[in-house]
Amino acid sequence: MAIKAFLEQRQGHIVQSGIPQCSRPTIPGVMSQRACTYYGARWVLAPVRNSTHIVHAPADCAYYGQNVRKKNYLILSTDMNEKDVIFGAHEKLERCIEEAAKIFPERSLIFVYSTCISSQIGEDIKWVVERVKEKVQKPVIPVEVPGFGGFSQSDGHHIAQKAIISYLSEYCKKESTQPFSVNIIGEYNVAGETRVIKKLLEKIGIEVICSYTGDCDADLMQKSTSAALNLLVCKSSGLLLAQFMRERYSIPFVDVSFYGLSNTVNSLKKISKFFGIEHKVEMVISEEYEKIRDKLEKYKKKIFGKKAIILLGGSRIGFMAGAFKEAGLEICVCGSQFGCNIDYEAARVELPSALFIDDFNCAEMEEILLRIKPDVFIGGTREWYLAHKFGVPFLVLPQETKPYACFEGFLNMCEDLFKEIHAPVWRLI
Amino acid sequence: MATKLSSPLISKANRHVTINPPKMCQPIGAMYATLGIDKAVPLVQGSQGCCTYVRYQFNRHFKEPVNIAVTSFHEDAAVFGGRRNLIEGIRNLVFRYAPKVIGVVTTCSSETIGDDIEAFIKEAYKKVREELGDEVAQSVFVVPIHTPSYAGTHVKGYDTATVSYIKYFAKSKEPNQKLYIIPGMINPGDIEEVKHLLSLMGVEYSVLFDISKTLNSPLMPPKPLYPEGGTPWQELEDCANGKAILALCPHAGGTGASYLESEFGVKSILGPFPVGVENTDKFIENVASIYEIEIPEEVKVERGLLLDAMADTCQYTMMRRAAVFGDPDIVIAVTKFLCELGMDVKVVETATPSPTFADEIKKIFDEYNIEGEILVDSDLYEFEYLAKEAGVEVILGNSKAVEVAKSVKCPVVRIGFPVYDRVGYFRYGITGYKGSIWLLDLIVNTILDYSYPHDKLHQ
Repeated sequence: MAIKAFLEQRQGHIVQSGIPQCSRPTIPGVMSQRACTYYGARWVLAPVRNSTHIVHAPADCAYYGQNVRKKNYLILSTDMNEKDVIFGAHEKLERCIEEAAKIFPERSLIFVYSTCISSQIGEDIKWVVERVKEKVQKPVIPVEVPGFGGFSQSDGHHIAQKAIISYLSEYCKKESTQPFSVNIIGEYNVAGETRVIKKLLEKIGIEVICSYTGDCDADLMQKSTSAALNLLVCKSSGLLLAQFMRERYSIPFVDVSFYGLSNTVNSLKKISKFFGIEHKVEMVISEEYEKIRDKLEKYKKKIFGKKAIILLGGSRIGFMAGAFKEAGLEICVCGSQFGCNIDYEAARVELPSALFIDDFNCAEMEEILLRIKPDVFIGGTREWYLAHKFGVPFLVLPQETKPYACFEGFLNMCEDLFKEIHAPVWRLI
Repeated sequence: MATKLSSPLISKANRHVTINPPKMCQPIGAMYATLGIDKAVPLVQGSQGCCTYVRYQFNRHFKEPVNIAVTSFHEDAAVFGGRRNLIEGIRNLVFRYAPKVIGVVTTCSSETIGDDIEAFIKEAYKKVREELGDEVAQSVFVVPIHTPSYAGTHVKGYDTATVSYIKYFAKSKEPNQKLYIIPGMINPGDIEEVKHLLSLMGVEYSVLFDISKTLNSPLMPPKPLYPEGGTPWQELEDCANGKAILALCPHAGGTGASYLESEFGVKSILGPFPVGVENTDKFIENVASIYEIEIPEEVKVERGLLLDAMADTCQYTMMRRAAVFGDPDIVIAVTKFLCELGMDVKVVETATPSPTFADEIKKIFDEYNIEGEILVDSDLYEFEYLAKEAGVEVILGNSKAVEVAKSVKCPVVRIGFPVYDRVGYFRYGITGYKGSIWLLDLIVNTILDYSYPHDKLHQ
């Protein structure tokens, strides 16, 4: 099915086979769905518990960045005004960090972000942070993320990981390895998924120490140096950190995915092989599957063969495509806002004949919805209501309702797909 | 005030750092106004985050798709300027979307690097003429709106946009008898209520920047490229010849209205935002005096219905401690209404700097003999502390109030923008007599639900 791009430069990004062009600058004015570097950094760093986040920018960057994955976090700002922009605001930032340490003494970490305007006027937050660290007697971590600093939010993911890496390098010494323990990297506790994954791993005798950053604070980050293995879920926002922990703390990592039954089973087998406990896994797998089997068959029957479009973030197309296929959906279009080669290659393995679209924009989405007329569209909040206007059911990720990870999560996902596709409203149009 | 606080750093006046700011940036205000114009697309001259974050706020509040484009600053633009981005952006937008109006909304980055937006727009027109033809170039209006976010809040952004659009379009022609309304950053439901009252009064009106249909459109495939019902650009042109212009929110639209008066002699009226008895009375009287008409019976009946509802519920509202935060005009109007209900307003806050806010609130407090805290250009940390200290029983604000209310241990009545943790608030207005009844019912039912969760009604 040929979707003709309305701009010539876009043609290489829409392909029926192979990998599309990706990681390119955004074309101005096309109504791209990409976000900025600061957005990516907040995506990774906001859930770190017991920490203070100060945004060196006008108050609105803090306002918007306060809400990440539909959860509100405490956020501070230096609220730069015109005078600060003209004369500089180093002193103000220093005062703000000192006050933050005084007002929230129980929070053990301080992250300081610089955004578009503070970067443009040359605010050196690294220098300010060095000056103020001694005064406040706690770790202060600079995160330099001007919004224009990259092509999309994935650059923000990298800078955020580098911030965590710099914290670990400076403050976290290697502890002796705890047997049968892991960290999870690139997992964000969407709708309580961390608890579900922890419970499942406990069943095969594996303890999860720290989840970056779904279940993470200064103490857990220190303890995480004692893990025997790292589980890497999201490459885009976790690969750098996993590689660092391998170099620095000699903790190896494996790629895992807890979305979809075969992904979960393969991941459990991988983990158990590493620890030499393969014998435990078979029983746990059959036990968990029995719990969900009846309801799962019921839902899968109702959604089998439905045509789906998945337009997601970056690495999600890799580690979730299998799950949707397993649910019985026929995925005809797959795309991402900021995916890189690795992500598309992983997705192509699962979806050999789907149309791939990189850095999709509103106009192309409308074309696709009109021509392909899918039975369900799986994407993010900004696409949600657009799909509805075309009379197409929509499943939003990250979800607000229930966890989608592991066995019980797969049942939840199939149930939500069933609810969306079979809502009576679509018949009444 | 310092004596009440357990630590001086609680008051915003004593510290540098802002904690949980409840204010947004200028660009979002300008985009709010642009989305009310028929076939208009805001084009953000800045980073992608400036567009994406704003779209999230709109998507979650209105549950509608919004078309906002961005010229995608990357590092080269931040260093060398955004000329190429803007020219290409305008050309691509015109090519695919054929808008009638493009509002170029500047951001921190573009204002700081000194982009000459007006010159770039001229070059963009040249490019469009060369590549797409004269007819296409003549059919689109590109309006520059200067809104750096370090120089004001979203309220100022909306205000700046109104004056930019009116300056660009307004043209002197034959006089007409219309009343022009600049709504401000209010909900579609609010605008519909105002239209309802004006229809009852038999007045010919035109709402500028009208989002009542563009941000509340039906599910009726095939989806049109642009939502129907926005203000046509011809109305923006013709407003120079109107009978009067009324800015419902003086802080958000007052400058546009005053400009129209000073340039074209159209009588301008600034506020009040018509929530509650006296504010709506003033609104009706203003309209009646402009057109020299009697107030119709149906309007008086609606007023009577509001008074009836107030009388029936005064046992629940009298002396209840309340706290409000939000945009200045909405907060002033709602505070007055709460006082009319007999509530004891303990803390009132707006994060938008305003020279008149504190005086207006003080006037209301004096009239109703109330002693409350007035916070201007403050944050939610101070608001939360003072609300807790005062033992507030209900908080009125947008969805940022929810975290505050958890700490204060009281319910939330959601007003303002954005409300993203509940559905449908944008559909209903709090303006006019009928809207005030709805707000009153919401406040009382919320208090009852919270106080009597197991439905054991006191007698």
